[in-house]
Amino acid sequence: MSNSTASNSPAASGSARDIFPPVPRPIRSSDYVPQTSGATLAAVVALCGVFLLTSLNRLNHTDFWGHLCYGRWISQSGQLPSSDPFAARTEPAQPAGRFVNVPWLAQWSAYELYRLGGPQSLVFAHAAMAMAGCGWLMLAIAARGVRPGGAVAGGLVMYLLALPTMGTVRPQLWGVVAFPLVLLGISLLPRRSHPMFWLPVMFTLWANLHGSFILGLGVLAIWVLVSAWHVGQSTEDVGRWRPFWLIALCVIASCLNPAGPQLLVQVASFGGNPALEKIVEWGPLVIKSLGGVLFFGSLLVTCFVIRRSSRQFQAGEVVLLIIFGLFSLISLRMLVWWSILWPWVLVPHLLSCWPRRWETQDEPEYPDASRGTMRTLYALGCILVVLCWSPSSRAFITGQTRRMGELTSSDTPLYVADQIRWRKLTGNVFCPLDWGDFLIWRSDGAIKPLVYSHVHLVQPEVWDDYLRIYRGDRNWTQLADQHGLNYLVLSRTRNDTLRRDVEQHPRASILYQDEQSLLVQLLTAAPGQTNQASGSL
Amino acid sequence: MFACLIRFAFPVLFLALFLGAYRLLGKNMDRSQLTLERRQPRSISHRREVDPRIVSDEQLFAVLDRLQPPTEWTNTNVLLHALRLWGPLAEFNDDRVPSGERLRQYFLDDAAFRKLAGSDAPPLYRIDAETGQVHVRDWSPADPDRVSSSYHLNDILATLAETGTSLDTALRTRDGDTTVERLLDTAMGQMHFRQHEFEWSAISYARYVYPESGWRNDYGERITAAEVVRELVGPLTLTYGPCNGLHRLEAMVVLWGADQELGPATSRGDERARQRLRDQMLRYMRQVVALLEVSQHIDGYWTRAWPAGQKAQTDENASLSDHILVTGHHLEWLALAPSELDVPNEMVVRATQWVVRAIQEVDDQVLRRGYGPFSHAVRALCLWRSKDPYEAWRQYKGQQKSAADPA
Repeated sequence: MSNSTASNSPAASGSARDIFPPVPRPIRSSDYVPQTSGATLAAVVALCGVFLLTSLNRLNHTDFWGHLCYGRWISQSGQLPSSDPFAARTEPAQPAGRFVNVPWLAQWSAYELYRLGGPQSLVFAHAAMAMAGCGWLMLAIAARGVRPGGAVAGGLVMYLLALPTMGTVRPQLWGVVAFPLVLLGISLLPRRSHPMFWLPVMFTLWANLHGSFILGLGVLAIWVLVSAWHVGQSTEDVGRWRPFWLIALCVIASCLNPAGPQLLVQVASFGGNPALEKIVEWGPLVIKSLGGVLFFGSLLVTCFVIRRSSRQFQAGEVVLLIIFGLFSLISLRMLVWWSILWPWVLVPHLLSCWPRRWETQDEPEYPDASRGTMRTLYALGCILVVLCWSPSSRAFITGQTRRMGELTSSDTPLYVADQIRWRKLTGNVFCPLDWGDFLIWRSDGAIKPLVYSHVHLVQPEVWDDYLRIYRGDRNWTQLADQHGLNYLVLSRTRNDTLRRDVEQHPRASILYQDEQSLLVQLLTAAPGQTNQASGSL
Repeated sequence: MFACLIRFAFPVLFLALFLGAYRLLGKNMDRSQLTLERRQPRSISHRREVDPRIVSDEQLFAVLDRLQPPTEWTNTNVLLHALRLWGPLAEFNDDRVPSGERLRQYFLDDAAFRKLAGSDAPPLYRIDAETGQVHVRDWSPADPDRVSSSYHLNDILATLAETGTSLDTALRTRDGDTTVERLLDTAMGQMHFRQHEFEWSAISYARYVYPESGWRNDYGERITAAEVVRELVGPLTLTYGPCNGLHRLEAMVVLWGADQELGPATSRGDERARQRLRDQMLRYMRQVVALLEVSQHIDGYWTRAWPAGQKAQTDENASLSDHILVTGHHLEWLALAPSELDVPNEMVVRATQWVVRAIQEVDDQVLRRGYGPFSHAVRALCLWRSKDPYEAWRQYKGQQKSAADPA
């Protein structure tokens, strides 16, 4: 300090400054301000970015509302449903006793959160969970011995790869938070024993939050078994049985749910319903899509890394990459798990391609502690800016409630749902399946769609009839009578054939219409009119 | 120990302090609520030179006399058109013919509504107990009580505005008393840009609310004047919407008139924004006028096929009701069109003279059945002469009386 004071004094100015160029003056570190490292600052900035981007997403009009309906049902009745309570049918979709509502805890907690803070609290929770998932993955990558900068980059790569599926609020988000924790547990297990305690607890929660817990169990089992096989049984390490105990504990923990061990069978057979094949996100990955480009791009990078990596690939890594790569090819919905696993496996290898670049360090010009204060301020500033920018947090901070039109995606049937609510309509309805969930929600369950987003609960024959009505089949009135439909909610763009027929049909009375939808009441058939096709097609 | 505590508390205090300040600032930034500054609706009048060739006083009286409000109640829509044509001050010195005030009370007082529509008619308005919103019972083909319902979305509100009804006017419904302001509030809250039959919402907006812009509707969507104009000038086809798409043009000229009434803009930015809106509307209207010039039949009328241009002249399928509907509506908006729009006088004279002949020749039954379209045509004639229909009818009747009885 005394040198710097001397150099700044008027007497010392001039020639002395020419001879001794000014050196950066260190900012004194404060004892009262927490110190932040460069890596932590990078992680904060990255996670703030993830939070901000995710909070720009609106509540999707699809299964999100269906899950919220289940949450409301559970909260209001104080029990779990034993059959589908919302669909337009009298008989359960599955034989009695086989109906298992896996994500009941996620549904219930989402509804309770909704009750507390309205729909914008769910947008906030969405952003927070995406951020948590990225953060855990950064830790999981760092736990593999990767430098913090690489770990932060890995977390961001995960977010990028998961973009096509990350925008939707659904119970799966709990899996996005929990899956990196499994990877963190795996990374820590050789050195630490604490995953033995928290991983089973997490699996108990996860099994009640979303069916993706089975993937977590799968990853854990594959990693442990393949690693054990690869290392061989010659090792005399006393802790070598620890991973096996962990698997057993996690499996037992997963069975602590309302369905018990049967849940494992139910979840494993989930994808078997033929109706799921017609849903785009359950369909195979299409190369000419954002998901396809990202997935195949990641495969190209994988090839490059395999060739250049100076770090040896472990058998578990290879097996996991192959299995999850195949899953992603089969179903777009699985891309999110690939997006978490891929950086965890690849980042250590990717960084080993240029070992020198990542190993060299700049000599600090002045003690690192003096930068720590400023980094803390930068980090807090970043958090502050993001909280003020992000629509979800801004709404909480300013106390300005955002209404449904600002929070929901543009395909949400807001206006027609409002009409149904205002007219107090009750009964069975045909509507595009992705609209069904919102209509159930807005009508407090008074409207029962033929099919809604829970297509895995639909019987094949109901699904076929739904598709026939959707396409404007000649015998749509017959099918409507067969299923006891009272109303039709039609999309102007997607049900054009049916709409044109309905507009002329004597049994159809249009109650409401706008540029998005039509609400039609089906009148009772006059004698001789029953089951007659309109013949206009 | 103290330093350690402060280190933990510092980030929390830092964020709390700044976020608290932001909350205080944010409270003052909320401009999402609709504020209604004026209580009286705007009156939009004819802005062109009056050409007596368009329709003579005698012709005007003759057609007005035939369009007196019906003596028997048929449906809400007819009464709405009668009120729109005659206004609330009309008196016909005949107990069987409802006065203008009685017509207006039909829409403002449930007791008056039940007197005409029947005591068992379901209420025209329903007040939402939760929100206080006033919902109008709208028309549905299967509704057995459809005749007493509102035929188009917000047509009642637009007519109340046209007939000079203040927002403070009491609205006595079966659910309790409220005001026209709540009716407007509900309509503006429910207004959105996917609305079917947007026209009357736009007219109500222009007369009661403009230049207010940028509020959020009940769904949280921002409603701006620019979006309202975009919705009006951007239909799928020129005939999209009720009455051959012609209420869209009526909404446009009403909005133009409301803008004219505002006077010069307060800032350059505001002037540019308003000019942009006027340009968009003027472009649309010019396109329509160009088509009207070539699609007009030699007799003076237009048909529903008018956007087809010259081909529309030989539209064999069109009925007299169609001719009246299209010609009456066209004449009505043209009468209120801005002076910047060139409207060929000869075209208007031919159309008005055809309307006069048609109304004089048509039999009573057709006239009663098509009261709505005929009333539009007659109102158009009055507008072209810059005359209030009731005043024009009363004055001429008075002159006739004094001519017949000079003593």
